[in-house]
Amino acid sequence: MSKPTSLDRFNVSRRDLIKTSTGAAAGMALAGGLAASPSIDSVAAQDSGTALQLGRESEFAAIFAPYHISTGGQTQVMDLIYSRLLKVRDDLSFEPDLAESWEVNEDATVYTFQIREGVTWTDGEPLTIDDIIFTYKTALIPETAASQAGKLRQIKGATAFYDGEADEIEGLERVDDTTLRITLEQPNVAFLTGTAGSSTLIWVLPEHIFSGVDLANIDQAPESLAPTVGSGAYQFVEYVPDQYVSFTANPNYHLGAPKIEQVFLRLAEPATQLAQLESGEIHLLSRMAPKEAARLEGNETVTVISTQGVGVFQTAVNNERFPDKRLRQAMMYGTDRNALLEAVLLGQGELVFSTVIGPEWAVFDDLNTYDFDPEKARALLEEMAWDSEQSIELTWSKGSQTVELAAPVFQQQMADIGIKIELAPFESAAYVDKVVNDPDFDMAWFGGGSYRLDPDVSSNYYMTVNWTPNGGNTTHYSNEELDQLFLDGRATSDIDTRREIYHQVALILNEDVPTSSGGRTIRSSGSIASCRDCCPDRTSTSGGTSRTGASPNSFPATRCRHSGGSALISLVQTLRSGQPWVGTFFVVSLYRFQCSFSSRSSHLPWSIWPREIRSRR
Amino acid sequence: MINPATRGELGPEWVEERKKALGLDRPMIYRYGIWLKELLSGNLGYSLVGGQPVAEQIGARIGPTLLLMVSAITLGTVIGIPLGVYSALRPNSWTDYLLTIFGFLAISTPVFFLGLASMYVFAVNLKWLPTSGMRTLGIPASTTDLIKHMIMPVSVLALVHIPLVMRYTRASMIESFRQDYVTTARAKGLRERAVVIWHAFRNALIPLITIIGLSLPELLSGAVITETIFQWPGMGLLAMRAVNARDYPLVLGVILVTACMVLISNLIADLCYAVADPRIRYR
Repeated sequence: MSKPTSLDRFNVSRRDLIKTSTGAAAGMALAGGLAASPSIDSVAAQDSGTALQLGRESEFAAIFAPYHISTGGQTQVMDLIYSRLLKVRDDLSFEPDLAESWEVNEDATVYTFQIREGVTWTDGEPLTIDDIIFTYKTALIPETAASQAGKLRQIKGATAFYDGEADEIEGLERVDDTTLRITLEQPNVAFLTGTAGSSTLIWVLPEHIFSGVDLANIDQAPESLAPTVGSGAYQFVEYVPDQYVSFTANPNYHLGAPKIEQVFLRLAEPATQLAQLESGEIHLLSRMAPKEAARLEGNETVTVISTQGVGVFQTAVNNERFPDKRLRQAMMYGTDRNALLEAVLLGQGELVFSTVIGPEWAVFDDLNTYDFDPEKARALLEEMAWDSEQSIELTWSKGSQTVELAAPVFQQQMADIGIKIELAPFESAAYVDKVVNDPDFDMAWFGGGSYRLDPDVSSNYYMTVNWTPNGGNTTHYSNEELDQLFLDGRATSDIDTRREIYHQVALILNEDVPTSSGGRTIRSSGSIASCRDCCPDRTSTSGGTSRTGASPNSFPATRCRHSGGSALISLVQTLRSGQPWVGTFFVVSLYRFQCSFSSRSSHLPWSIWPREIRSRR
Repeated sequence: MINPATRGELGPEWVEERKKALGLDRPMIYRYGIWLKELLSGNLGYSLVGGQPVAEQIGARIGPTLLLMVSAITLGTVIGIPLGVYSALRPNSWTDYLLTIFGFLAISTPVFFLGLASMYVFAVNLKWLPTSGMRTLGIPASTTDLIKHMIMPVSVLALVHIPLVMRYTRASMIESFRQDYVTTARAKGLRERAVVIWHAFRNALIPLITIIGLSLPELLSGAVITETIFQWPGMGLLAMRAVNARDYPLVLGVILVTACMVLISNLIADLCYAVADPRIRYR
């Protein structure tokens, strides 16, 4: 669990590199995204027994099929009820979950996992390697329209399987009862980093439950609507629209039975959530508007913790409808992103100019910063003969207070340079349909991602093979040169070579602005009730994943005292192993917003994308 | 979910086939006929988001909505009428002015403000009541718990309803007091209480019935803002979500139910007129 802070660390061996760098990335995600520090003061406002109450925004997309997960709420549900091959620790290294151990060969083409034995589903059936293979194969069947499909096509033979030319996936092998081997078409040192985005390490589904399901309608299948057979620390109980999703402890969980009996995700409006947090009805709120966080700073019962974010707020212009990059560049120049950052995120973020924003070796300072310049924006629009009568519909998922604050300002600024923007917020599920599953939008505004983990994270959003719904390329941007650069960047673990490659990537993204990156959230906050005895003397292990997919395990007791990031971890640990805090509650509210202004996505001009990630767990 | 890439390969024949299967090749009037037929058999269609039957979703919301709205309107009426009568008996007195001021304040304060303010006072600061929802999660559901959760939303809705009823009652009563039959009643020596109740109030009922009749549709349509703030799983919240999600079948279903309720309330109000005032008779 060493922190990969120096480059020396990276030179140890390729395998080490892979493990540490991806781990580091994930850890950052964790540290960035989740923060909280435990406090043990019991919040006695509600007599809720041993139930942990987590807050969630009411615009909740009740889609529980692991192939169509795109919101923090869904991720949270998945992490509670299903398991994946690996989890990510808070120091960013991986830790075993369903896979007890794993190995990567010298050139990063073969990943071998030793699968844990004796794991059972909540209905008593054994969880075997067949379930894992079933899950991955299903993701590569076109009808499923899995968001992981694009990334998984790196696996040897996956494309042939996807196209119906093969019955089996060559690179997905069951070596024996407990050994799974994944062979890639081309080397990729960052293959596992997908954990954070759930794109390469999918939550494993029970084959005996899902084998007959109509894949084209998997979201509506009863098995998906009420996924009671799982393998996570908790078992799904019920989803009551507009009220809650409830879970009960899984006594047979393979990493140890959780000590907290019940978990509720309470759904409510943001204003109501704050009241719930302050009255102690919910124990953790992981996303909060900066303004609210500032107000709660002095509150005695609530601790607000901010941590560094790893994602970026971005606007994405549909490349198929608006292919001219000058429109996106004009939007970048025409947006006063600094002012937005100040006004919307209260300065708690930083502008970025591409989504290649880390780790440290992949930070570049020679990018066009697109300083606010309406004149230049108008000139670009004139040059491309933009029709100022044409309007562009800007879509976002309702409930993000940050976007809601920023969108009208953006609209006004665009009007100034001659671009007519119409605001069209959608309820979460409808937004996902419109933007991701069946793209039919002009422009979308979203935030998040785990870009700082590894520059390859960006490949999911800009490579042609990853066009939605088969990946994260929302804008259907396509650039052969860029595609090749991403492939090259995966093929080597030499930091200097990678730095050079990703420098090119950053320059292209900066120039083309496929999505306009707004800003990156610099910190997020969480809060906890008064922190006395906050760190029980224990180093139990338990894992969980944050919204960005990191999952902590075994953190030393001393760390939780002041570090925001560990609180969440502790919370997750409590969920899993639960000993210290059963019956007492911490109030943790954690907000994390990221506002990154980077330019990427197919054409999104400016971008401010403040994005709040609220993940509470 | 159709993969757009796959859909492109499927070609126009496939699209035609799907249209046929969905009945989209028929003229609109024919499709409307199908919709009506299905409606009569209780099928309101399927939600675009999630695919659940609309009737089922609406059905699940009717109970909570009725519970909330019946309580609120009853409470508002039961408190509003006596206050109105009291005001009318002492017009322009300080109590009348006080009630008038209260009425103006209550009716001009936005519901969301009232809701959030009461939440902060009673749930966050005093911790007397739960903030939202219908039950405390983690403990078995109980009637006491439900009542606790009802107090705030019901009070907020009633608070908005009271001034309406109160002011109409007052105006209508004052009008009645000026009528000759009230003078006659007093002249024949009836007790004041009898005059107020049997002569003045009975005749003041007509505008009241109108007002209460107008609020009856809310019984089923719910209260969008209040339900949203208090996360009450009623029709208002459902309507709100349906609109946000552009879930047309669901919006259609909610509007249909509300429209039916408006018609029914009007009918009930009309029938009540006849009961309250024998001069109004339908032949």
